[in-house]
Amino acid sequence: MILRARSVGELAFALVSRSGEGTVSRVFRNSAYVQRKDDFALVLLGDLRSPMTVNVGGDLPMDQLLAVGDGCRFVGGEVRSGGTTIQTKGAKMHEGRLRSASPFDPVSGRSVIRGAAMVKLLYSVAPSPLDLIGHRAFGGFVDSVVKPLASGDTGGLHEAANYLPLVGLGGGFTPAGDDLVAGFSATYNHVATSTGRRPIRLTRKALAGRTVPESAAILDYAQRGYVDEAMEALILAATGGEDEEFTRQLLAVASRGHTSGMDMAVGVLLCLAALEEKEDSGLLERALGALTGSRTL
Amino acid sequence: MGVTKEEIEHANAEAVNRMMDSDPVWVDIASAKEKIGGMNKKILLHAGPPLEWADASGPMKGAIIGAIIYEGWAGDEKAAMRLASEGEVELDCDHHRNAVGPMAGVISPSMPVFELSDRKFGEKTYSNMNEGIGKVLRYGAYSKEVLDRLHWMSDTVAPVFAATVKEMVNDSGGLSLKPMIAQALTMGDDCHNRYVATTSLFARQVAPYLVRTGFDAKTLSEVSKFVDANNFTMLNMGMAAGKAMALAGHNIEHSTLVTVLSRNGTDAGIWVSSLGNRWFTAKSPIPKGLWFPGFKDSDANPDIGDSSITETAGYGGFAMAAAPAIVSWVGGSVQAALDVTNRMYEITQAEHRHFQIPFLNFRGTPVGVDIRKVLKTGIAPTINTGVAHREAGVGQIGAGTVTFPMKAFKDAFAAFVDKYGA
Repeated sequence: MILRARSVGELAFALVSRSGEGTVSRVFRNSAYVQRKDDFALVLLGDLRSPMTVNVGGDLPMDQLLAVGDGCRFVGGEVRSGGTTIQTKGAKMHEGRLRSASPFDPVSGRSVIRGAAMVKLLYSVAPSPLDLIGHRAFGGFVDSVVKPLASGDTGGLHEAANYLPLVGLGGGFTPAGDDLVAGFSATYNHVATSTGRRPIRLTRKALAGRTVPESAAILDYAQRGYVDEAMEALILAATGGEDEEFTRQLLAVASRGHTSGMDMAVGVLLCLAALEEKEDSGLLERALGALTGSRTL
Repeated sequence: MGVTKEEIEHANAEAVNRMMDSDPVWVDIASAKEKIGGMNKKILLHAGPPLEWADASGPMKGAIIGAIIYEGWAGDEKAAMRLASEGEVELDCDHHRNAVGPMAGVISPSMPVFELSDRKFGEKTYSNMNEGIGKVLRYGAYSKEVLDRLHWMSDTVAPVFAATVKEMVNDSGGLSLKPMIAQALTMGDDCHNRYVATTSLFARQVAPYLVRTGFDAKTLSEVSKFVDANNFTMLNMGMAAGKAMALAGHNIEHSTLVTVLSRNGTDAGIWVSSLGNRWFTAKSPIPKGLWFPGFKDSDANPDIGDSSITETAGYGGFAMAAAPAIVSWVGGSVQAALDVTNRMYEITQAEHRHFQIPFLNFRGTPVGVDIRKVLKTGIAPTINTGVAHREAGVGQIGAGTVTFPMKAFKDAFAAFVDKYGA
């Protein structure tokens, strides 16, 4: 079976364009991860693009085309595994936009509060064994990273130990805690690119063993500005002062997956609230109130 | 601080229980100006959210023109259009008067309307009579034939129905709609776009009272034939019943359940229980379906009608799994009909206690659309519907299904957050 890619992300391109060998590490109905040393590319039956994704079309589900544990070869821009060949030659290249600096113009505090209330309302219909917002790891993260950031203290921001209680929290393929950290760090680091701040850097070594390798890679890519186009649109709107677009993209991201999108959105909102605290005193408390208070949604 | 999850769940449980406990009963039929307040003037009610003449689609304009001539406010099309375009005839929504009408849904002061009374919660709801299919007013046709039929319905059918229902009221309080709908769903109707069983049940139930009315045999025969000739005779009353059920769940503080889904041929709109009579609208989509011979996709008007009150109340398209034969009318496969019902379970609050689907092991129909679930799943309600030609005067061109536009739910969601969120 030959699958022709419609789009290939810049990270995925770098992975598949050099000759070598790898492994099919995960397979789902509509997607599969191929691994090459510590890096991963996502082969997706669908249109959502990201720097790590190869977007293909086809009638058969991915779990009938690739098998976990099978070896794969990268030859001339192709991924070959079992009887399946994925061709990337001729595919449109997708490059992320978060790595480019842009003026930091955050959305209004009202939009942040409103966004927090919307996400909480969506959480109310997504039953999950984990209450991420109510978990002590969330509280610990807020106390050690977010609140200090809001008061201008960035020391906690760069301590890996402050993030690790969240990493791997929640189980699942991309644990809830990983998604929150990804949303937070992707947002902060995009602002850092634009404002000359020191970015957050959680190394693979620090993440090793705490979460699944694929999620660790996704978290690493997110910090470096490589996220899917929906998250990218959300972060660009959030940091570009586009209130209406921010709300629209927040709802789009938050609706994804079981809680994955909501967890990422929480990370984005926390980062925004902390960064805007200087201009809008009390914003972080109000945002946390909208997300966590006993009398809130 | 905003409302809690527990408060929302409690409110939604209350709202949907009220919707299911509602007990609409047909109790009367008389002119709209006698039954519906504020109609002793040049006013027309229409389906869907608020609408200006200038923005109205072809079939809606056709129905308005026809109703103006029917009322005698103008003698011809040209004069009627002048009255409408110059604002000399007030337009208002059926829903604002607890009324509903299929397709254009135009109700004029002289038109007879069914009156239903909710025996459980006391509200009254109304709908006009169904004229039949093809070239009819509700599809925007207004020829002499159409208007003559409307006058005949008013002069002949309505008085017979009035006398019949009076007998029924004296005997048992009226004609109860909920048991009839429940039974019809087990007989292959969806009670929006397929009403064969419901109309048959109606004919059976009214027969003993019809013959007691004292009208002559010829008149009774004509009225009976009129009922029999049109499988959709019961659509309008079935809609008024849905309106009563939805109304019972309306205005519940903190509830996120939808209590109106409606379209006017230009826009589609919803109400949410806790947000009162505020409309949240989006452009009305064009249904996909099967066309009568000679018609094609480009002939279709955007979705129109208050008949999606049936889906709001937990039947219609939500009960498509109960009506596999409907695919011969709207297109698709039996599996697709099952899939529609199964998808609607993902966005609703409850499974109906009284409306059950035999093919799904008598599972209750999905009832109580929750805007939170619509946003979270990305699944919007599927509506079963007739399709009008986009030009006035042509009539129905087919039937199909349509997905309600997501924008209306997104706006409602934002409004709920603004009211209760933080």
